[in-house]
Amino acid sequence: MGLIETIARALQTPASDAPGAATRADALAAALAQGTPGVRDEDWRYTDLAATTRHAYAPAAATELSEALPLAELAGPRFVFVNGHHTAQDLAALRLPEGIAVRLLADYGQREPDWAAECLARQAKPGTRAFVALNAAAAPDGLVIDIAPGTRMPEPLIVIFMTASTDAPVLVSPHLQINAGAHSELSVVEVHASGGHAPSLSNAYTRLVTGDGAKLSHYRVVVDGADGNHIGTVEMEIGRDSEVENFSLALSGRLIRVDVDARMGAPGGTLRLNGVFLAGDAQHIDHHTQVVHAASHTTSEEVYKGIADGTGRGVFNGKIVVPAGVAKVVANQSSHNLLLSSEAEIDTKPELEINADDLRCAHGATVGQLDDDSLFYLQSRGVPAEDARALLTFGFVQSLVETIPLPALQRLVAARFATGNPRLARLLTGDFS
Amino acid sequence: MLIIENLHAEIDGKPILKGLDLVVRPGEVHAIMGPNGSGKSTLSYLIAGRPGYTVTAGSITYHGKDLLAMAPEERAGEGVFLAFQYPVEIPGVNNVYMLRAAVNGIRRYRGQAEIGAVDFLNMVKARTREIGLKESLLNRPVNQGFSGGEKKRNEVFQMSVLEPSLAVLDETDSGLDIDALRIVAEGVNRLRGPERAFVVVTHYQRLLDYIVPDFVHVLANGRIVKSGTRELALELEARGYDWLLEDAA
Repeated sequence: MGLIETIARALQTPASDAPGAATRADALAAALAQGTPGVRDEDWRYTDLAATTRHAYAPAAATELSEALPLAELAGPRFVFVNGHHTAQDLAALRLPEGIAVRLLADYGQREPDWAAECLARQAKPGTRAFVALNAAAAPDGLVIDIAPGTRMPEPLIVIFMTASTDAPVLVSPHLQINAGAHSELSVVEVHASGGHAPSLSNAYTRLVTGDGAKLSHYRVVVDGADGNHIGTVEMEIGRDSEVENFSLALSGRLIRVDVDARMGAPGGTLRLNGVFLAGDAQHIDHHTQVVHAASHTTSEEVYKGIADGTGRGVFNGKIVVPAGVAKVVANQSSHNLLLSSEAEIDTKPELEINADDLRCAHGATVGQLDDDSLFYLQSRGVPAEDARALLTFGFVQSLVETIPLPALQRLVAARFATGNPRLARLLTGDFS
Repeated sequence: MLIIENLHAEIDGKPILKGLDLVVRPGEVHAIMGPNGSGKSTLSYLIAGRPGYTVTAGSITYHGKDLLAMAPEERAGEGVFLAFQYPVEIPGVNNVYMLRAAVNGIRRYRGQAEIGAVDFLNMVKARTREIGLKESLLNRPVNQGFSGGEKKRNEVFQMSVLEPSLAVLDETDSGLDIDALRIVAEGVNRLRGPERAFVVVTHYQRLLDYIVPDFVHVLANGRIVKSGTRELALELEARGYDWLLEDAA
C-alpha cells in the first residue's frame, strides 16, 4: 500500500462537520484515483517514496508547542500553525495593517461552509495531483489572505507551520492561499519546520495569485528535523504586468519534494524563480518547477543552486512551457550544483516544451566540485584548507541568498551551514557591515 | 631568507623550470623579468604552492625550512604572500570574512591568539585608506565586479593587511593605468623594510621606475640567464630580450 492509500485509511472517518466536508470527500477520491506516485512516473523517477511509506502516518492533533519558533527576530505580522492548526484564538489580536483580510478555514469556514468548499474546490477536481488533492482532504485548517488593491505591506507576512514533536508518525497538512490585489506589494515568508524524534510528513499546499501590476516576493523555507519529510506544492497565477519572485530554501529534512508551478496567463508578467537546497548526509531534496508562459510578453528567470554532501541526493527538474501562438517570451534557466562527496548525487534536467518561435530561451546546468583556483587563492592568503572549503561552499549559495532583502532569512541559511561546522560558525560570526 | 637551488619543475610532463637558482635576503627587492612563457608565473606559483606542478629536482627553502613540503596556507603562515596576476573572483564570499579567516589562520599557525572583530575592522579600514581602495569594496564578494585596477589594488591591500615577510608580485602592473600603478607601487614601497623582501615579476621595466629593485634577473627558457642591478632593466627596455635568448639557447 502506498503513502496516499495509507493516509486515506487514516482519514477514513473525517468529521462530517468539517468545513467543506463534501469537497474534502471529493478531494480524497481524487487523490486515491491518482494513487501514490512511484519511480515509474517520470516526475518521480529520482524520488522514491517507499522509505517514507513505511510509517503509518496519522493526522496530527492540535497541541502546544515546546520547540522554539524559527525566525523569531524577523519583524512582521506572524501566523503560527502547529500541526496544521492555527495557534491564536483571535485574529484581531494580531493587529494586522489595513488592506489585509485574513480568514481561517477552520474558523470562518465553519460559519461559511460554501466559502470553505470554494476554497478547496480547485484541489478536489478529478485529475488533480495526488498530494495536492490529499492536502484538501486532510487539512484541518488553512490560511486565506486577501490583499486589497494598491496595498503596500511594509513588513513581510510570516507564516510558520510547525510540526510538534510526538512519539508516533504524524501527518500535517499546511494550507496557505494568498490573493494579492492589483498593484499591491508584499513579501511573504513561509516556513515549514519540524524537530521531532518520530517521523513526520508535511504535505503542504500554497496558492499565490497576483492581480495586475502586483509585486509579490515569496520566500519558502523548509527546515525539517532528521526524520521530517516534506512534500510541498506551490501554485502561482501571475497577473498582467505583475512581478513575482519565488525563492525555495530547502535546508534540512529526511526527504523534501517541492513542486513549483507558475502560470503566466497575462502579458507583462515577470517571474524570478530561485532555489537553494542543501542535501546533507542521508537527505534527499527534489525540486520540480514548471513555468507556463501562457501569454505573450512574459519573462521568467530561474536560478537554482544545490549542494549534496555525504550520501545526500539532490534533484532539479525545470520545465518551461511555451504554447503555440505566444510571442515575445524570455525564459532563462540555470541549475548549478556542488557535490561535496563521492557518494553524493545530484540529477538536474531542463525540460522544454516550446511550440512557439518568437522567444529567447536559454538554459544551463552544471554539477561540479569546489573550484581549485578559488581554493588555492584562499589558501595562499593563509586560510586553512578546511576553512577555505567551508567558505567556498557557503559562498556558492550565498551568492544567490544575498539577493534576499531580509537579513534574518540570510542568517537562517548561514546558521544551517554553520550547524555541525564550528569552523564556519566562527568564520561567519561578527557583523562587519 | 629565500633560497632556490637548481629548481626543475614541470606541468603535465612539460618542463618549465630547468635549473633555477635565486637567493633573496631580508630587505631586498628582486625583479624577475623575461619574455612570455619563460617560467615567470610558474616560479611565482611554486613559491606560493599552487597544486599541479611537479618539482623534479632542486629545492626552495625559506628561513631554513623546506617550502615545497608545505601546504599553501602554511607558507602564508611562514610569511609568504603571492599577489596574483589574475586575482580570482569568489562570488558569495565577502572580502572581510575572507581576510579575517586569513589573518586568524596565520595567527593560529604562529601560535598567536585570534584578533578581535573590532581591532580587525579598525586595522582593515586603516589599510583601505592607505591603499586607496574604496571602503565599499570591503563588504563585497572577493573581486567580484571589481575593475582590473580594483582587483590589483585589492591584492596589494590584502598584502598590507597580512604583512608578509616575502611578497611575490606576479605581473601586478599588467592592466594598470599610470595612476593605479603609482598607487599600487606606493603601497608596496610603504611595506619595504629591513625584514621584508619582494620578488617582483614583470614583463615591463615601467613598474621598476616606481618600485626600484636591488637586483634584476632575466628568466629565459626556465633559467636565470643574467642578473644585474637596475641598469639591466633599462638595458632590456632598450635592447629587448633577444640578445639574451641567443646566449641562453
